[in-house]
Amino acid sequence: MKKVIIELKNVYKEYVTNYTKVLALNDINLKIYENDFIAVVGPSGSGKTTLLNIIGALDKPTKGKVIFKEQDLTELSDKELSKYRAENVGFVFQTFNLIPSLNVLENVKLPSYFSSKKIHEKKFYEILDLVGLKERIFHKPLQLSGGEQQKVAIARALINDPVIILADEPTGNLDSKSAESILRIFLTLKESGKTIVMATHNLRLLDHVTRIIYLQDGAIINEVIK
Amino acid sequence: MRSLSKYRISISNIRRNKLRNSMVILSFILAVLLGSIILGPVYGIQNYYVKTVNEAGFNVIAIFSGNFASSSGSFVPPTKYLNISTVSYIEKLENVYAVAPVFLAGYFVFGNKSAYLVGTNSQMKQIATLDIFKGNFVGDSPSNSQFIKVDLGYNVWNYLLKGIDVNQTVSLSLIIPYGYSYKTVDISLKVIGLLKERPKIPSINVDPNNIIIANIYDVFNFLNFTNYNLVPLDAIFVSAKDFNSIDSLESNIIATLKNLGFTKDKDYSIISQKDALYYINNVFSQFYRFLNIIWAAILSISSLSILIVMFITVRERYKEIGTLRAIGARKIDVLTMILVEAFVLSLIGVVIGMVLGYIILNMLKFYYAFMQTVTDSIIILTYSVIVPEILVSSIVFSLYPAYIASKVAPSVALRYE
Repeated sequence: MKKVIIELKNVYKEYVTNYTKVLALNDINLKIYENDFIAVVGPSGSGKTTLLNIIGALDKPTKGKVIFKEQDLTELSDKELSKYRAENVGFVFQTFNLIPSLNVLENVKLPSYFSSKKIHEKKFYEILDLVGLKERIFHKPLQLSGGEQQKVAIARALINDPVIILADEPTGNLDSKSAESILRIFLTLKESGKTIVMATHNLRLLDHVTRIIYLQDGAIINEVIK
Repeated sequence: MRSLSKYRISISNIRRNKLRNSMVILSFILAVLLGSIILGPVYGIQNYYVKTVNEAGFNVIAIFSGNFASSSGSFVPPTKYLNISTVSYIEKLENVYAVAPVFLAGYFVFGNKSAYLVGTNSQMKQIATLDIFKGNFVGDSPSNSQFIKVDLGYNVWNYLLKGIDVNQTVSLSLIIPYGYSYKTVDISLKVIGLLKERPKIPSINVDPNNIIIANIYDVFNFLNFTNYNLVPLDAIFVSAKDFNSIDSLESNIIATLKNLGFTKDKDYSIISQKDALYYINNVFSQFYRFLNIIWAAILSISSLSILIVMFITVRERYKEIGTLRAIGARKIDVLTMILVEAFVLSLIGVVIGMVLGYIILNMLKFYYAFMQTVTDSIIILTYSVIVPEILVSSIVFSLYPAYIASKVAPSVALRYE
């Protein structure tokens, strides 16, 4: 039987914008198992990013529980949530979100500055080798292509050996060739047993995932287990 | 070391906005420059006065005939003069270490320079902390010889009578008051001692390096004063046993002189080293209150510059802050990273300002004599006052932008465009 890593129980998320309430997540119940590769699909505004933010503890649900290792993340302090993110979650964003003043190697090292996990210097180079950027470690993000920047972001997400990788439309800002190479990296990660939750519009990816969750108006309208 | 590594982001960000950060650094350079140029000379002058008062003698109380510090600015003749018998009353007071009469007999002219002939006793050496370079100091008894035994001030033997040595004799023309005019009399002097150089005493016109000291009775005899008690003294210098007894001795002197029929501030003026130090520090403390307003204005400009720039920096880097929070940075990490950035910016400005300030203060010494008082130790003192204030204010003024940055919700910051 597969081990549950994170469980969302009756999760609601409500935003107030311009005096109107928007229900971004509506009664979400979801179990994420070890080695899962989940694709979260749905139209824009369906709540994909909000769902990833709740799983990654970047945001707190208005109602409901997010259970990680038998602990409700909604009850943790900001400091504890930072530790959770530093040691258990790897984020990959659509817009890469690299620090432009730091070079490739420094960007990859960043999460290690905030984590108590001991990381051997060799690992930074191994991960950069894995994403194919070993030769460009001293380049600044602006000297790289979009695909290369996303590879740096993936390396950064992997450096702390996280329990779960959350990718928010990682190929959304890339041309098809770059998107293909990023996809290949994620498939390699899947093969190595990583747990990945990815919000995506990329239909090519759906053939390779273990589960597909369809979101609409903040609610899970369908779930396909493959 | 891992926890310190995160501050690489702060340092790298300084290189990022070169023009804007250069302006902030410039404001800190100017703050240090203006602070050191305004405060440095004032510290220097105060230090010079305090130092010279401290070096003026050993716990000295000076009693001058007449109103020494007349409000009209001119000397007001007293109705009763200090004399040798006054000295004998003061000698008997408690806490007296030494007493010396001062009689300015006249002066010698050497080209465009002059030197006073001062009649006094042996105790003047201790009171005025005069050091002998060679020979001996004048004694307390008259020499009864054809030569008047004298000690020469540093400038007199070194420049005015260059080449003279102890045991040598010299004949000079002494200019002395004569009615409402002056007359010249020839005088034969025998050098018994040469004095070391010593600092000039503030508020006293007689430069201790431009004097020729003789036994007061020798001078009286030379001038044919037969009744010593009728000769008006110019001053009496008194030394207290210790610094803490200066005030009580001064009070006793005033009471004694009152009993002798002297009226303070009319027949005599009295000032002690302690009074002089108090006066100097009081004047400068009032001056500092004014300077502090100017300094606060300078500090405000540099502080506001860092406040504005850090606000802009935080606003520009909202998304980065969100990213840092997403990868595990705590609020305190974000806060300290912003503060470190502000601190490093101000530190760069301060260090450059200190170097430039040092160069400029030393350059000003070539143009303004009073700048000689701004020694290296005064520059260090000035920096020790202004630099911590600048650095602390830069941190204080960066706290609010740093706090704003730390409070940013990561999910909101990541959506920020």
